[in-house]
Amino acid sequence: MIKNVTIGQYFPGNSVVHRIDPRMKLILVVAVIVAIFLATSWIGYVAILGFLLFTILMSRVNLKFVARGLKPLWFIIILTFVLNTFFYAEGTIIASWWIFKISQEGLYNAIRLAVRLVYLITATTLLTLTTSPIALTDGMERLMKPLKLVRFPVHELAMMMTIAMRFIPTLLEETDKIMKAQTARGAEFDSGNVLKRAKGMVPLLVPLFVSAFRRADELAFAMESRCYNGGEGRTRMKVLKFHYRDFVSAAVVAGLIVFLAFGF
Amino acid sequence: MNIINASDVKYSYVGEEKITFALTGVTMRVGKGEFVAIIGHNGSGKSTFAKHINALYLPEDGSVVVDGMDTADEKNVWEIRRRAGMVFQNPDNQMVATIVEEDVAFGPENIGVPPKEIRQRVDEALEIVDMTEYKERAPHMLSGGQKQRVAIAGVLAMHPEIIVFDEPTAMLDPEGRGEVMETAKMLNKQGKTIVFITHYMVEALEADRVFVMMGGAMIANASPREIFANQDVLKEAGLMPPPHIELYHRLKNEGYDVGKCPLTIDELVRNLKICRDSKKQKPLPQAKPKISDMSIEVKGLNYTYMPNSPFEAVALDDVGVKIDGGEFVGIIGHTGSGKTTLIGLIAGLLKPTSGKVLVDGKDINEKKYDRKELRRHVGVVFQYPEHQLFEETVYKDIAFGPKKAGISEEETQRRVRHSMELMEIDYEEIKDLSPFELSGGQKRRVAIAGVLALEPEVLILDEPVAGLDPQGRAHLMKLINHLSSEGKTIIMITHSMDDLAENAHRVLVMKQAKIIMDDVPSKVFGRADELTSSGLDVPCVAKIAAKVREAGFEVEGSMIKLRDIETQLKYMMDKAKSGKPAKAGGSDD
Repeated sequence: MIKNVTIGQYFPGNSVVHRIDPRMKLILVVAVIVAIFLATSWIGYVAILGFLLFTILMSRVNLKFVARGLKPLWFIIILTFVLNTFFYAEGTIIASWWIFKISQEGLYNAIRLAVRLVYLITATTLLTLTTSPIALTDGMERLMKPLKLVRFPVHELAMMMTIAMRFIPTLLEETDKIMKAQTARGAEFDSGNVLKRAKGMVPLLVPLFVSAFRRADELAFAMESRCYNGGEGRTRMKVLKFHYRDFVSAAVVAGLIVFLAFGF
Repeated sequence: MNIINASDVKYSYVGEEKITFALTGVTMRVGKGEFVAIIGHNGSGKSTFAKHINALYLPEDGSVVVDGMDTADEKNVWEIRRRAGMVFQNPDNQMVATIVEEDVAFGPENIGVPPKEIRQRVDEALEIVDMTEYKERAPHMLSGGQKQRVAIAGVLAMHPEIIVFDEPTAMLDPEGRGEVMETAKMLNKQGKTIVFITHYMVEALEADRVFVMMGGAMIANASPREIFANQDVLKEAGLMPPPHIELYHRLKNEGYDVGKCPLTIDELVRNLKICRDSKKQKPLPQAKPKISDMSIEVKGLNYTYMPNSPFEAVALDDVGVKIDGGEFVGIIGHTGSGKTTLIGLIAGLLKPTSGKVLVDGKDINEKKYDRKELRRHVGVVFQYPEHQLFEETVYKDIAFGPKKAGISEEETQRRVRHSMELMEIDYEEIKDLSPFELSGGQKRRVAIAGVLALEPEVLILDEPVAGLDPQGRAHLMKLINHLSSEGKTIIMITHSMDDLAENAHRVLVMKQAKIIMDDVPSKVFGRADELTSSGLDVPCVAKIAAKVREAGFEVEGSMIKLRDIETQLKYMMDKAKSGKPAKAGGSDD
């Protein structure tokens, strides 16, 4: 049943946000990140917040899932907030204790940084929540196509990512099986000190590697027998095409940037 | 015109120390639209030869010409691979994409078919193998048979002339095997040339022509009827015919006139009608379980996978069963019926959601229960156990369990030797080799020896013979049977009904998380209709017995052992000839 685990954090859906072309989505996320750094005033921040909330609403992704994306980063957000609060020396001091001084500008700066971080994470989380890993790989491969001119192995990289995603569930299942088999022979994976645990992994890792190599071998044969010959002369079944919605979403983000660039 | 024309093909693998001559001169001609099967035991060169048909390997000597193109000519390679598609054994290791339809599109994408046409071809191919409704699924969510059908669709999308199947059914359950075989036959009807490599003789019977390989050469090539009528060829190639043909041979060898070699059970029955009639039946002795005190009992056992998640699934629903010491219990059931979960719970590898597992009367899930004791009592051999080998030498790998259990060096050595003997592996010769150097069958026996070295009283086996060639299967079953006769409790999950019919004392049938039947094999397999409706097979002998009875022979309907039906048939035919009961040979269990 371990095979039911999903890769990444894709939240399947059919909303407008889900259906935006992955290439456009990648570009727009970059644009939104730029926008976040352009904003200087509170009105600007409220505008971005409005935009993000609007996108979440449109994507019909539960707010809980977006919040879950922030969870592992709370510590960093709080740390930056604290550091900025205490170590921003200049400006009007509003409180001081021992060597710590809190200035108005310091506090303002800390809040701004924390808000930016939260926005950044929310924007990227939204991308991975609404785009399947395959669509993401596909979008990246196509966006990076120009890099082929400088001999960057775009296609190979994308193929590797696809195969990795294909085999993660298979290998997870296999790990589970081998663990059970070795446990039945008396192996222990979760006791003892670090060294003992590391050593305890050998009966798991060796068979896993052996099987991964065997799989790789067989997969290579299967791919060759299906005429795989690298990216040269390859076509794709699914051609990405920009739709009406892609241009509308681009216009929305462009509007946001223009709004922020004009001083908000 | 011959679409495949291989002449005197030679090929060898160069290893670090030795050269293995895999093909020593293979000649094979296949006509357009033919359905041919290649049989032979492991290492006979079948797969190596198959890879020559689509230029994955090139002959060192001799030539392979496919659809008029020589594989040795480099510019032909891609066109040959397009025209001769190949389906491999392991369904997992031939899928590239994370979505079914993307995987089917992989081939046409590689040869540069325009996008619109790819879409068309993919839809068409999925329709042919009846997988359209799964087109957006992830491959790992499919059953083995479904995965193989997707692999076939992937080949079909390239519009091939020839499809080479390299043991496509070896890793599948009976249902999956049926799916693949039906698909292959249907494609053949649509005009594709099929080369079908298999270990299952029953599948070879479906071919127009059968090639027998041995030691890297084709030793025979004829219609299935001629091949299976020829006991010498089968013996030389180390192959076992299916039970109904085996029965035919046994009767024939003793001088009964049973006509020509039957391909189906119906044909066998027709032949038997020649000399028939008898009134009396002899009672069949029923196997009695030996009594020892180690028992396993589960009570009200429930198990739910990933509770409170969208993937929640009930794997066991209030299961209760008691297995006495020394019993040989078979567990059968459709994939996903809960068999593997049940043995996982008995072995203490999973914790029940509710209910009890009692081994030797003690609840193994109680806090104070010593897990080491459980490991001593219960050994588990998982599916494809050879995949768990990891040490540098066979000795070390087998000794892993005893060492973990803190057993002395001296005693460990005795156990390693003893368990290797039980698995009929030569201790002196093999112990210092790397387990990765061994053949498939040997690896498996080494892995099982690794479990036996713990000297468990109860041995649980999950599909122990899956993926082995006929010789390997027969050998391993014999060894397991021997362990049973030595008093070990054997709990075996299997899809091979014939193995259970011959050996088990008791059969549990599982369906949808419950045990629906629990009885002696003859009774369980007597309920053929119920089994079939649960997606399970009945032993071949039971099918023969049923058909023989239908034809008016007065034999017992509950027969499931080849020897029993052989004895009864002889008895009746002798009687028909002499008018009185002749030698009434008994079953010698």
